[in-house]
Amino acid sequence: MSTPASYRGIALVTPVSLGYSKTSEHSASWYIGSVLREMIAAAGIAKNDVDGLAISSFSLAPDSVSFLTQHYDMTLRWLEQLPFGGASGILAMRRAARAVQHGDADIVACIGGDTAGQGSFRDLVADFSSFSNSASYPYGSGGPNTAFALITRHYMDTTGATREDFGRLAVSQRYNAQHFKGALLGDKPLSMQDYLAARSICTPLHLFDCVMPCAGGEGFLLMSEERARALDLPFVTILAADERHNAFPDDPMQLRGGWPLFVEQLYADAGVTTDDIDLVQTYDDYPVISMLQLEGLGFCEEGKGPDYVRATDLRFDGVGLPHNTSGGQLSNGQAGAAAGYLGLVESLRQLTGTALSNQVPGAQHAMVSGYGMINYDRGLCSAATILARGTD
Amino acid sequence: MATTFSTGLPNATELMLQCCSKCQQVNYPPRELCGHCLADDLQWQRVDNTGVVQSVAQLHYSLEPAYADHLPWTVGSIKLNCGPVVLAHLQPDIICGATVKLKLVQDQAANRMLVATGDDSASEKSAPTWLEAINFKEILA
Repeated sequence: MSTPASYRGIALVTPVSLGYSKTSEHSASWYIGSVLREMIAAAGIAKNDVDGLAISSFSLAPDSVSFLTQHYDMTLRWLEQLPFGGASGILAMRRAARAVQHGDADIVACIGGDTAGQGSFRDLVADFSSFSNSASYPYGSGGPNTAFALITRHYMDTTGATREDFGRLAVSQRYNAQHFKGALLGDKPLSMQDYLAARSICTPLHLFDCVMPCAGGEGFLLMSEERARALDLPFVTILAADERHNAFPDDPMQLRGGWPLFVEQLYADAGVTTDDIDLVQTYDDYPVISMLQLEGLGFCEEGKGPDYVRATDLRFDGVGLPHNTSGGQLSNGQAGAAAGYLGLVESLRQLTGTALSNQVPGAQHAMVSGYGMINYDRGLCSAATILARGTD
Repeated sequence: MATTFSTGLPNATELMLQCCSKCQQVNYPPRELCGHCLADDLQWQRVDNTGVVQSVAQLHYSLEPAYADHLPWTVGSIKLNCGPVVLAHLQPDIICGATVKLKLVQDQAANRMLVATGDDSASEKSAPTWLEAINFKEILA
């Protein structure tokens, strides 16, 4: 099998996260356009310098990325709309990087944005996919909680993970969120005692295992390293990236995503090891999935996630491995497809040294992972990238 | 569309799933082409209705009002001996690793859903009572 070509020469700049709120009167196009405006301002470029747009949103319909060109009065030469949920950011980055490397675009705006209203989450999950509609949703109508409760129970039975182990992720992320302005739950401290005492949602899941659906937008600009230097923008480079879809379909229950299928090549392409990674961002729609990512990305052996989180300080200012340094979705809320950008955008802040009070000092390398699309009983998309601080 | 339980099945309580006439693959969730060989030759057929419970979840919260008065509600993930993994309404006292039997239940609107019960005859006989309360029509509307 061939392997991904180098992402040499590509720069990621101007991370923007905005507008997190539990519900919103605005449309998805407001979130996407607001992120675009802020990125253009941060880059010091004109709107017409952007010639490519990659969009992910669950709440944009009946509009699409094509229609957005008219909303924002832009003439573009490259468009993508990526329906990959929690893997959207990394997948948009991979595709946009190739477009810029090969001259199909010069500056691509990669944006995830979603609105949220009363009942909109129910409407989304009640008609999410044909498999879900016929074979998942009717069974208790719990939405994604049901699939992840089943995955979590199976993981606990298989690995010996306890509720405290998942709590370690949730509690350390809340600590990180308390140092990140804009985190929806950042002003609410969470102790292990609080975590364990929370009400049942879909056992073994309790309240603090579940993300809060919300509105919000995330994005970054992707351009050549040369252009980023000319604009005098702090930037991040892509050392390696890959993705898999519907990996290990014969596993009766999901105990691994697609990461083991490419992780060795990922580190080889990047020329680094886990020891070189200064921070990791996992897609934390539920803590069990972060466990699968820590295992699948080589930070510990398969099934050893519980031991790893017992032994590792996951806070941004700890002595271990800073994990979900802005609080992840568990503390920021899940802003639809923007959630698939959250870890990537936060890593850009960290690696450009613009992360304010939750900055990981001297961060050089970040591992970012994406996971998404629960069609029936498991997440189908797995993606990961290793990023590096751009050199001056 | 012949791909949902509510419209695609003859009236039956035995477990029937889509079997491919070309490659014999048993397909679930329902679809229009065989997931294995992509042939357009799926037939609803009676299949081995036994399976092993892989995981159990108990819902304390549901997005559908129809469940509100019946929480907590138990569902399970079951690996069928005929191949697929199915999500099913699960008899509440059944634990992971147990062997169960699957059948289809039907509400007054002829919506059918999978139900897993213990493989002893007492469980099989008594099982539907814990389902009677639910208005499946509302859930599948």
